[in-house]
Amino acid sequence: MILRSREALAPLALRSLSVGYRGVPALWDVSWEAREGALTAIVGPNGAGKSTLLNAAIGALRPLAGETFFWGQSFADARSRVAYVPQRESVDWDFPVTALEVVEMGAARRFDWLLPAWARRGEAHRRHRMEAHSCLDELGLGAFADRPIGQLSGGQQQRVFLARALAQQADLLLLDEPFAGVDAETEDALFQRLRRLCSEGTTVVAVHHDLDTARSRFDDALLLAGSVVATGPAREALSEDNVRRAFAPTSPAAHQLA
Amino acid sequence: MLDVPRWPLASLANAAMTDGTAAGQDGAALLQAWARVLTFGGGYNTNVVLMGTILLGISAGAVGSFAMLKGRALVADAISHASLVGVALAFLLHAALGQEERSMPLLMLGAALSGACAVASIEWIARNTRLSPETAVATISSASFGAGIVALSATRRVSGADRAGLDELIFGSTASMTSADAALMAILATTALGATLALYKVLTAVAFNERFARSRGLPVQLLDAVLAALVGAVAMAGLQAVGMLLVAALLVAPAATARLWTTRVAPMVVVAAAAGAGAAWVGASISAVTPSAPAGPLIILSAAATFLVSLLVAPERGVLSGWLRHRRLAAAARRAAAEAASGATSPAPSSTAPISTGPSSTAPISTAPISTGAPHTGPGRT
Repeated sequence: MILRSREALAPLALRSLSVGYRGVPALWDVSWEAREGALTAIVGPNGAGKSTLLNAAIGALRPLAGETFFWGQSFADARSRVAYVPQRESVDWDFPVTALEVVEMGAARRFDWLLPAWARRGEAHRRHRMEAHSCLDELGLGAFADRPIGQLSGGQQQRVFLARALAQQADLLLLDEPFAGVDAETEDALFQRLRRLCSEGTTVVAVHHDLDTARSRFDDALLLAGSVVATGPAREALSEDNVRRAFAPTSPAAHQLA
Repeated sequence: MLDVPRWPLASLANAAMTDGTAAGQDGAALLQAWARVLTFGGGYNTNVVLMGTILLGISAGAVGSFAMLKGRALVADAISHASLVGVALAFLLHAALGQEERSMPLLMLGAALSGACAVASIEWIARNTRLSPETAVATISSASFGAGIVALSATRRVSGADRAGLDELIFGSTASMTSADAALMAILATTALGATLALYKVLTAVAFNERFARSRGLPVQLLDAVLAALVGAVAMAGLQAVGMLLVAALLVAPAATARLWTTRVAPMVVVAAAAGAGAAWVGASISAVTPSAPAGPLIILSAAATFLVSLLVAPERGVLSGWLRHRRLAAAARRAAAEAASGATSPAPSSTAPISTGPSSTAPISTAPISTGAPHTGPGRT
């Protein structure tokens, strides 16, 4: 294989990735590369392996075969450049933390974890707090910084998660259903923020449910149905024909999303 | 039996009870004795045991908070049930070796080993099958308790052994604790407390959002094991004072109490530690003056009483405040409905009030001020 410079390598590259749960395949032989600086949607029916793909990429699931590269490196080596936002439902929102504390978890760098909050007095601590505050401000949550997350609406919770990802100052954002349970106004604001990130060179890959906005708002799309159905510019990859193939009649999801 | 100084106050209280001429005097003497123990005037050994138990309460509150936040409060229960097997087997081994005296560290080691086996089985089932963690805990907990009862019945056939000590471990008894036992308990509890505070931030991160913590490079599985070990350490520490069956409650009840009063992790841990300490202080001191009442149940009852009161009166999450808020809101809604109804029926010529054909209770919702006074609704985006 010809050695290329690291900068030329894709922010996220999957090579023949297969994942299965208890003998049932969830993702089969997926090879794909995310384009740098693009806003990419991962689309597909329920059970197509969209979330599985993200989880396998960051090593939360062990693949059956295949590899994932981030700028040619393993996830462990590229960790500091990647921000992952899980599905909102994967978290207990009654957990006793404030919005600011959640975002501060994103601002924490490698060794900060070892120092409890009350032991940190000084420059680094103040900087983290300011970073976290400005990330919340950017998403219009400045007034909610000290509020317990359980008192926030679904859309606000989703924005807290995105603020945490912003605080990580990553070059690649992996978002799992960032627009689930979000009202139209919030969705608009989130898209604008993501668009700005992309224009600054950040790569954004988001699992997305809605075909219309996937076509109109995203640059690229990866259409999944267990394996890759189509990739490329969003409008072409999500053509009527491709979508019909992905949401085949065998899939019950086809009726909901047609 | 062990030839060591017992709680001097137990005999003192005994004397007070038998000497008293009237029941009222008995009660007064008992209260006096209790007050003396509460204020650490109960003699050296009593104080050492009392302070050790309070340390245990602090540690149980702090460690239990993280176990609860992690959704693994029941793991403490499984550990305590499983420790019965280990204790009984360690006891049998001890007797087989021909030892006369009970060896606390050996019994603790047995309990720790069987507790670790139980936790490992639970985690394995939870991760590798489709059963819920809850099911895994319930299955392993009751199965190991059954095994413990069987092992315990085997100890009955061993003659000459100190079985009385074994029973004390099941229900807990501070009365038979030596200051060395108390020191061992205090050391274990303090170690667990120190480790919990040192890992405060990572434990919080993993409990809140495991996937995210993993993506940031935190060793999630190792931290899970560490938390289980901390729970186990508290359970072992509390083996003698609280008893293996009840120590789980000391881990859970103060944490549950604290969650009712607080909205952030740090205050929650502090309140839980205080609640645990308070329960230990009250329970152990009552037990010191009434030797027939074992310390374990008294400590747990104190913790449960605190929880019950908190459940009723806690400001934000309490039952009473929730009921009051609901009533206030219902009253506001009724007022709004009544106003709408009267507006519709009153002959106001220029009124644009919607026409209501039904009774007043079916007043149109659109005229009611829905957003005013509703709790927990965050203001909209500004």
